[in-house]
Amino acid sequence: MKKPQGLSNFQITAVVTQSIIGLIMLGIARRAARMAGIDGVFVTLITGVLSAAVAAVMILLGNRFPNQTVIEFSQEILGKFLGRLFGAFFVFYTMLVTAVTVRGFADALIMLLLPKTPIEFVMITMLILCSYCVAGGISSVARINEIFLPPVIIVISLVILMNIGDVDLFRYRAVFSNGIKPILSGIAEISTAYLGYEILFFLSPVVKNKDKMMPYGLAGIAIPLVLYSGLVFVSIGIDGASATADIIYPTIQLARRISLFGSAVEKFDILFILLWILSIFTTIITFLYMASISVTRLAGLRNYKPFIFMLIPLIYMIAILPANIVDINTVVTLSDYIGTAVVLSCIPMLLLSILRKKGGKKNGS
Amino acid sequence: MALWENQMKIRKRNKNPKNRKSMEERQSYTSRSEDRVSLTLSRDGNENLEKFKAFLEESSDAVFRQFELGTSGISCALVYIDGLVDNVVIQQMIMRPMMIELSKLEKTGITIGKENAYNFVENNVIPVGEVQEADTLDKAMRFVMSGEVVLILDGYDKVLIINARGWPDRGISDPDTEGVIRGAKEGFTETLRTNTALLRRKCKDPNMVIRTIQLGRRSKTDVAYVYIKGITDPDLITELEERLSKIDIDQIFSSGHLEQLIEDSSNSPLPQMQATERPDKTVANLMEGRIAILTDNSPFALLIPATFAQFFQSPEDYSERWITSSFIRTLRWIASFLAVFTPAVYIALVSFHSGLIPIRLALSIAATRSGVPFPSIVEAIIMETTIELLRESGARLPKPIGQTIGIVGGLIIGEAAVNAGLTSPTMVIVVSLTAIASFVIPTYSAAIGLRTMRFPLMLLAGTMGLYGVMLGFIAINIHLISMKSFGMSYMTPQSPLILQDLKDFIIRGPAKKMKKRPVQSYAIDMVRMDMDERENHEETTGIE
Repeated sequence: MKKPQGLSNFQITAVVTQSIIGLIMLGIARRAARMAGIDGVFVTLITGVLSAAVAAVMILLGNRFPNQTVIEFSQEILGKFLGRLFGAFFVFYTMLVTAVTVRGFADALIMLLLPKTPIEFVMITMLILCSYCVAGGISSVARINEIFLPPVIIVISLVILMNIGDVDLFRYRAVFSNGIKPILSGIAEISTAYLGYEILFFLSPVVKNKDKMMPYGLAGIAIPLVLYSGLVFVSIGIDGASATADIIYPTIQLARRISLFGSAVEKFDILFILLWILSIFTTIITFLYMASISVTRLAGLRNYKPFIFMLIPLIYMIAILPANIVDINTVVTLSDYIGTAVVLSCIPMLLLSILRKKGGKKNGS
Repeated sequence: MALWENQMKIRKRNKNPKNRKSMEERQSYTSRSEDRVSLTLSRDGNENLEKFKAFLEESSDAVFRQFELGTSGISCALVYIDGLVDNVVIQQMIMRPMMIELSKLEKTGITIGKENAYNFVENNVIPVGEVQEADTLDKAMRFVMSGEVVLILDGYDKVLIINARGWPDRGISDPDTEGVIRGAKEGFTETLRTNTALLRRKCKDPNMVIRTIQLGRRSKTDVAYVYIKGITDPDLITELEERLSKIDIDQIFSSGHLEQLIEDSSNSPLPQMQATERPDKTVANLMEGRIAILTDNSPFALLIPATFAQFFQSPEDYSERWITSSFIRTLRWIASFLAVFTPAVYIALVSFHSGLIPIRLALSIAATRSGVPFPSIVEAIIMETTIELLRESGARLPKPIGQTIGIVGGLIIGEAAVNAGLTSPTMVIVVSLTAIASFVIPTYSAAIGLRTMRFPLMLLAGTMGLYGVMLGFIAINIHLISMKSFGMSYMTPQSPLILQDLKDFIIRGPAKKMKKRPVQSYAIDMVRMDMDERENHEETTGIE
């Protein structure tokens, strides 16, 4: 049966949203409050809009090369050597993010849910499950993102809505009183929370309706923008900026406050953690997909499935390497820097591709 | 040792030339008749009859009846299988006209010779609706074996095939596995022709096509596929025909066997085609653009393509009000979750996260578990295995004994196991809840597939707690989304998301709003209903 293949419009939104929402969701309010104080909500909003602008550039760039991924068209724009260097950076970055996410997830899970389970066990089972999914191809990745999107949105919205009545608007009385500096540093900090839309670099060859990439891709950023801003608003509104900055997982704190039906569902935080496993899983599979397909294209090959299983041990080693929280934070910072550089690189690449007349309609199809 | 000696004896005897003749005789029993007789028919009637005899002589149910055509002296013969034919038809509609009435006719001056006998018999003598002809032996043989009567006329190298089928039939009865409270009470039977007639009675559209092919080298099972021209996607029909043509097997055992020969992913506990006993459900699915596959000797139709959501639908949903149906359908989805996850979640909560249970409940569970010597995972596996044993024994036994097993197993063993300290009352509740929930799912094969999944889930819960349950949940989802049924994603309309089909998914939308056929069945003609004018007027003006 020859039916139209490729990702549907809603799947684009789902993939982008789910690869953004992941590990950082638990600590988004802490990051916002630490850097920007009570301006955190504004910072989260404005960073989301900026990220959407970058994503729009990314989609424009992808539309110029509808049959290529970033690994291939970067070589065309930047030349062979620089393009390959960029590709190598990209591979390193995606592997790093996968490793950091797995490690951060395992740490959080052991702290919140399974105090006696060895961390290696949690990480290995998660990685095996992810490689099983990624081996099914981008359509599997897209569909699983699609199917897990509604529960993730519902639960996060529930956390926000059930707590919004307790927000003390009095805490927002001195908003914008600290000048521009905390806002700028806040944007730098929060922008990493929106990372994940790099997947747009890879979507243009596999999407069914290529002209619909722009609205649905941007919708994929709008959803985390609303959810993140809601979480930050509620967290700071309830606990205040300085207290929120000291809580490791403010979102869990919010979920813990909820009790449904009297005390029948008093451990809402556990339900929240269980659904958070879903969003972690979707983030990991997206990055694992990106890592394996980047390596394959960098080597000039077509079939990426063997590379998944070659990357898994490497990723596991990166994930297990940091001994303590300080080391982990170093790795996270490193991956954040590379990530920001990789994402922002789409702007000069678009300019260069226009200047050098690469891509576009004439050699697009 | 004795066996080996015996074999040597047989070998020696076969080598002995004195026994050669008996060997040849034995060969006539073992070698196929096709290899001994040429398959072309000759003009000699007796020779043709001998060829039929070479095939069937050894079978006691084959009947060879020789007689003369009227008074003309042309010899004829009937070949049929006793038991597959209607004797009244043979006596009154074939032999009587040919022997008695024809001789009366000949007295009026009509002459019948070898030159016109065949056409005269076919056109003027035999008052039977369905008459065909066969010019080779194997084609004629196939008709004989499916209950038709072969008429051999001397002087012709072809034979007449007369339909006189009639065999014992179970009769149409209440579908056992898919009962409904409000709806038709008739189910398919084992006879293909009865089943196609049931479909025709429900849909009088001449565009409903029933194509029949024979599958199985030896069993020659009739397999019919039914679709409606103009609704069903031609690509789907081609795909099905391709898959059916690839089958090369000696026997098609049942429709479930056929299903496994043409399905997409064999390594799945879940069915990828919907099997149904109900003609009304079959026709409703034909109307949505699906194809039904009917297998002779099997009271089940297979519907393709199928999606996971379909297994939670019952024909009754469409007979009742949409609000109540939606409520019941939601209940079924909840039941499917309970059937798969309840024991796993219970194990995880009791052995890993006892802090998550509300404190009073935790205390009472702990109190009931205090006398139980096993960890909860062992207890759960014992009890779940027991209930599967009870279910399986109840299903195989005659109905009255099956009920006894239910009472003995459910009430007495349950009570005694708790009293003996083998299990806790909470575990009994969990296990019975699982069992009851799994019976809520209307499709048996989907229910049993889901029930199987709970055992690996229990092991995951026993090793990793709720995280393990979640891993299992994700793994099940990966499996579901990666499956396809004839190219259609198994989780449609959830993934890929088809908004239009969500109105008949967990909720069943109002009948008046179901104006389009579902996308998920590849229908090429989407319009199901065209009656919205008046309603819109009322909605916009508010005037009744």
